[in-house]
Amino acid sequence: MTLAHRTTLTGPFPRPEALVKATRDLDRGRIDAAAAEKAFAEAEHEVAAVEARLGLDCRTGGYLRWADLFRPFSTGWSGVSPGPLTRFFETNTFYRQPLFEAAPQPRVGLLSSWLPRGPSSRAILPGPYTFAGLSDLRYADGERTRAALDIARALASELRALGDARPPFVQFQEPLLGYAPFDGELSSLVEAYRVLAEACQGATTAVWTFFGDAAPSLEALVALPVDVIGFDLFELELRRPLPLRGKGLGLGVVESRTTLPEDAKEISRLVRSVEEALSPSSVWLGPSPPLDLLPFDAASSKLELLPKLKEALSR
Amino acid sequence: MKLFATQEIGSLPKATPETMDRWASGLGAAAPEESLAERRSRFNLAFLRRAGLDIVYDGEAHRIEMSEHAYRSIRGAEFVGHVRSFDNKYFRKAAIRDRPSLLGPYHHDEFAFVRRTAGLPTEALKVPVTGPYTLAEWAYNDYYLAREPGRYRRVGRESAQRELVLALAREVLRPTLADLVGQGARLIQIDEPALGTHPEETALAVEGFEESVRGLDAEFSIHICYSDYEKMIPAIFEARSCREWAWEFANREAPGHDPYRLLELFREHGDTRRIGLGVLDVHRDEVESVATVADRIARASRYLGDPSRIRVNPDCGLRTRSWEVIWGKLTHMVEGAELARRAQVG
Repeated sequence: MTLAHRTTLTGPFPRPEALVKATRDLDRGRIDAAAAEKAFAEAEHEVAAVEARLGLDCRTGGYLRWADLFRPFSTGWSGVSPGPLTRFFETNTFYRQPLFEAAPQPRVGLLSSWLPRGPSSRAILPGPYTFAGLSDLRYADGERTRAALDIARALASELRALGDARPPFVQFQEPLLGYAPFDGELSSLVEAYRVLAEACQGATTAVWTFFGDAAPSLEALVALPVDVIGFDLFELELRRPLPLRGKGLGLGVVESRTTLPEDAKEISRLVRSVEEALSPSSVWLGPSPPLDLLPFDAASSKLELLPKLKEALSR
Repeated sequence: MKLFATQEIGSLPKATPETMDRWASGLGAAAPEESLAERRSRFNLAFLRRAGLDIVYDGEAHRIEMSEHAYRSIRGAEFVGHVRSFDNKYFRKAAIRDRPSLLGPYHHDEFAFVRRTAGLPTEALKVPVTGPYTLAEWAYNDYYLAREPGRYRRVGRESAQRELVLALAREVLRPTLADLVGQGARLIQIDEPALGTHPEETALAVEGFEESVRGLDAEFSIHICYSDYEKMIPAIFEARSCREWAWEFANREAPGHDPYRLLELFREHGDTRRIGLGVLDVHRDEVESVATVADRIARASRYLGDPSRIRVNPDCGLRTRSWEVIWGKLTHMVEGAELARRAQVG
């Protein structure tokens, strides 16, 4: 059976240089909010044009307005607020650590202004395990398991509230499951994702890992009620074949830690070897980790790999 | 140097002309021909001295950012655009496109200005210099990665990274440090904040440090912050040319957790070098009381078992705080050190 290979962005895209300038100017009082909004809109068009030119199967708009993976929620929900600047894994970038004083209460309707729309749009949201794991939990005795479930319920409310505007692809970012082996209670994580899956009925769902080798967490990942499991090709060390049991495979194949272009031939060989080991039902290809670790031009240029790879893998 | 001598450790905010005017009384007038960077440098030196610090520098007033400043003087590096650091803050990131070499020692003019302006003995000036490991970590390592057959695997990336760290140490850091030593610099602090995110690479950072300082006659210290130090010990102790560990502690203070207890590990491993003790949390506006500072020094003295090896500093650079908060923190640090000194001497 020939596998179909689809391509997508898997996280935020870097801001174009014009938007970098506009946002700096906004902070320094040189332009007003309307001018900044215009710059954001133009930048989103620019990212959409890149996605269209490269024939990506999903459209994201680049998530250029998200200050970090958690900020729409840490500023929009009650029970949680944005805390101190904290390093985001092993990068030279930072997020404001969510500070939970109580179980989060969603502000239903929040997501409508933060997500792309359209028949091929892709929602990219924080996964509950990473959200809880990277937060300062000052309730529930700091218990990550309970917080992850509370977060999943709040995210599910937001997703249900989107109604028909909910994107047909919903991806949950779980870099923590790549960074370190899963060390929680599997039944609780499965329950958190069951809550999310119910809110995503009719959508294709994915859990995406990066910032490390997720192979040690593979059995936990396969147990989750989602359609696709995403891995960082450059970190994945498969010690033995482990079928994905009917799930699709996501692979980060565009490396955001270097501006060097990847070699399509060599990457297609590596993709094939992972496919053989995991026997996926479908394959999604994208960057890993998200490309916002690169400047805009470098990221756009490196994405050229995706259509080349798709072509190479179709032969 | 006296017991519990106080020292600055990193960058200060870029003062506006209005700020400098507001604080100008007693800080010395700027010479009319000075650039804004020079004026800031002069202002920072006077600010730190007026706060009472024993060992100072100029708050890195001449530098835009700790890696960009260096990469502007490195042949083989090319700036490829902006990467978002957080919110609407960005840094220009360099890609290594060729074998790195030094265009010219990038702290030469800065140190000459500071030395001339401060009018202090060189033992009272500590120059912070970004280390080779951090420079390598905060750039795209395209040159060595392209030559690495295993570039798509972690082991290949690590091999390429080692080559870059050592090349920067030999070709960039060592001549830069040699120039500073040649100008009379005695205290040089090698900053390696990137090691905090990769404590498992401590041995590589140590190798880079030793390559950088080889054959140079100065007192070198290593500043690392926001790290799991226990994961670096004992590998970090292999940095034999380091005379002082300048680490962050105050940020970790929490009910039931005494971060200064870490110093017991120095005794356990028989490491007898000096400690640059972080006593100010630079991420909070709350100004530590004089008593809090003195208590932190007293606890550290007990755990270390030798108060004479302690110098006192903020956890890290204070550039994210307001000038009012910085003033409050630094003056309390100086007073707290004095209180701890009196308690020790009796």
